[in-house]
Amino acid sequence: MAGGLDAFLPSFGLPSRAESRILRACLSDDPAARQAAVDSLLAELTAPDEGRRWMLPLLADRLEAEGRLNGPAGIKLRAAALHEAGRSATFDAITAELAGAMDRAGCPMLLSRGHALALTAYARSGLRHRHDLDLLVPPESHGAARSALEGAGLRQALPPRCPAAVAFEHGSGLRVLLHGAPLPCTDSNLDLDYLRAQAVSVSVGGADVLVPDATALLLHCLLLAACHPPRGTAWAADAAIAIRAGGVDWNAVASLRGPDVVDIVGRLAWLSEVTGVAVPEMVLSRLRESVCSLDRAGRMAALERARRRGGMRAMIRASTDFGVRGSLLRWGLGQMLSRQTTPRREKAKIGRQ
Amino acid sequence: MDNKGSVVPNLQNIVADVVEGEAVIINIATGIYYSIDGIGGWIWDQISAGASIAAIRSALCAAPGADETEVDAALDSFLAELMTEDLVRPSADAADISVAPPKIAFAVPVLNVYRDMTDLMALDPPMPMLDAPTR
Repeated sequence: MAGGLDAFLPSFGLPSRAESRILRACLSDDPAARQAAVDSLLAELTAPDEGRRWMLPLLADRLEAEGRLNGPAGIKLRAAALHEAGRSATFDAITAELAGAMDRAGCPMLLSRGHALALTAYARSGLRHRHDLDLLVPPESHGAARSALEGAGLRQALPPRCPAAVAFEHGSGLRVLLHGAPLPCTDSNLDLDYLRAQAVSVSVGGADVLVPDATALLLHCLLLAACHPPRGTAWAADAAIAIRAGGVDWNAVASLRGPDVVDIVGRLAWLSEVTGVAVPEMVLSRLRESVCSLDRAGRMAALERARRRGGMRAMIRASTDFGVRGSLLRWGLGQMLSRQTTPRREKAKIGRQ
Repeated sequence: MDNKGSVVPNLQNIVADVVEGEAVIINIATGIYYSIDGIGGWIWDQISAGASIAAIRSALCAAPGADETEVDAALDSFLAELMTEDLVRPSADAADISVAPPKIAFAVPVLNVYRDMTDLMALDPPMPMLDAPTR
């Protein structure tokens, strides 16, 4: 496989050029380097879309530190930051309330994903926009967890984007997701027992809550983007900030194996190149070696993931690096045939009954 | 506006932050946000501190370049605008605090209104905690 994983990049749903410019504006340590990005960016902020809106508090923070949070754009950024700081306090209060409810019900709970990142990797949790609260509870405790959440006044809500989670709605309108596995749609070894053993305790709204450690949170950012079509710059900023916050066990990252590594090394290399975040070269080269040594099943799994995210064209393009085009064509034909034939067989069965 | 009374920030509806004399206020129910700088920012600071309208008026009259008639009209109009936008509410509990005149020259206070992020701010639960620390 070519070292750069270039053929896979289109299927990663990486930030666009404009979004990468926002990322650099938020992450660059060099005010002069940031200036050009900020100037062009502010012109785009007249009506920020959802994907970019959540970057506003982060950008406000960087500009404020440089004494450049002024003018009409400065007011917009300050308003966005103020709004997010208030929302963050609401998140904290609800987290503390639910942690208490889970504790009383004897449910072991890990706070996961966005809010966990906001609390541990970001300089202030209000710098990270988020929509929902992700709670990770072992499947065997889900019954008790549901009762605890309902006892706390939450009601079950529409199914979330992640089909393996159960969604609840808090009285504030906040969606609370109950997960039984950290990343049900990946093959990586992020099992719940491992996460709990590595977890760190943080104080949230007066309650002590367990969150995954820095390494798990970084992998989470990278692999969640692999599971779902990534939204704008979110995963990239999260991952870059998680790396900068420190505490990542790079040896553990470098020793990962399996088809997920395609995504992990591809995204880490992109982050390093585009945002300048420091990813040890040893990690990238060991992960590339790991990709090269994937067996046929692993390669097909990685390609299937590329297809889910980017469609058939992305999958075929990605296959150029894997030299499995023949297998891919056979697999594709098989899929098409099974889609065409299965409903007919089902219909025939129903007819016979 | 009754000079004997006072108004207070409508904390049931707004979050606000003042940096270097410039206030940014968000009405979280509507998603509209506002900015007030200069004399307006100074007035917002005094309102937030609980000063009475009379004390604010007296201090403003002592500001450089202030004309009493102009101050009266400008203050009335400004406070009425804050009330209309639901950013302040009348209060019977005016604190008896003395207010030092502003160090900047008097100018008619202006409430700048921005409606360009209403959807993003008003339709994204949970709503901000109203007494949250801002930084």
